[in-house]
Amino acid sequence: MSLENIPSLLADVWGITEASAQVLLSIVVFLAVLLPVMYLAKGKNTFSIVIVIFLVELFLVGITWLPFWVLIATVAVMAIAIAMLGTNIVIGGE
Amino acid sequence: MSEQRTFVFSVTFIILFSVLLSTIPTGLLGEGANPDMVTSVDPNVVAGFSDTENYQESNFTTGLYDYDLGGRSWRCLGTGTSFALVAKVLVAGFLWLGGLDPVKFVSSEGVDRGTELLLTEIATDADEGTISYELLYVDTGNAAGSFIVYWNLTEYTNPSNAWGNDSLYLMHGVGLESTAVIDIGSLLLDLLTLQIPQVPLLVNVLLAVPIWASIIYLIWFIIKEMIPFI
Repeated sequence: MSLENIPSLLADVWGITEASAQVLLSIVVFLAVLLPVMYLAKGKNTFSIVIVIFLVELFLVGITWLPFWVLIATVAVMAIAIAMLGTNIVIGGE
Repeated sequence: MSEQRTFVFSVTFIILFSVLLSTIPTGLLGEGANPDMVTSVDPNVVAGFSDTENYQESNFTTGLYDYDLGGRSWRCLGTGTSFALVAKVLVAGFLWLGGLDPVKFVSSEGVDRGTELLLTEIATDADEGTISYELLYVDTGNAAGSFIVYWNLTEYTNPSNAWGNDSLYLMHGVGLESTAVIDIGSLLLDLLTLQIPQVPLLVNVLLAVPIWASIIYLIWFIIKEMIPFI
């Protein structure tokens, strides 16, 4: 049994679709990793949280639990956030 | 000031998005390559697999070609008009008592071609002399990698001719390549033309809108700034 097969096993056991099992398991992994990081960051180091989210997503997409477009969406959101930050620095905040 | 602000934001966004996208390993696009990533007659350019096996007609002995790939022993059966692919079921990891685990071929259009892939079906499915089939184990439905068939379309008009002249190339690829980075150009083009493989159209639209908006704004801003000097 490999990590890639876990969602299909869970789907069989619980009688849900494989896609639902993949999302459910991904949420569990996200929470398991993010909650301790957010606690340690104490609401300050947003950048470190973003890095952790990206790394966890890379892993989850790699083991095919999450579709690839989730990664593109995350990259787009990160680019927008950093671009807004950069614009504020260059032009000045409004 | 507000226009300059939007201009700086658009430029930064497009650059950042492209840079971040290019850092994603190509294997995360999915198992194996899609046909667009394959150049005919050169199996080495196929990206996206962690391990591959390449073969053609001359490799077959009495219609059979055996090889090891992805931790399993495989047998390809080629009759001259069709192919079948089976994994050997080994007892205790090394002893083969004749047990076979067949796989079925699913085309990139989602057409299930069953366990026997006909050359006529390849001719129908192929685009520009290349086709990638998803392989699924018949028993479990689990993925068994991809089976890519390609030939030089300028030399042979159909796969039957290519096969007879030892010029029909077969490739079985498994796993995900994690080192090579994404072909940023083709991915961006797919994104902007709403053609990313295996991505719902609505999601593709949502992803493309901010990029298109930035590009259009940039073009408009540059034209607007240039007009007074013409």
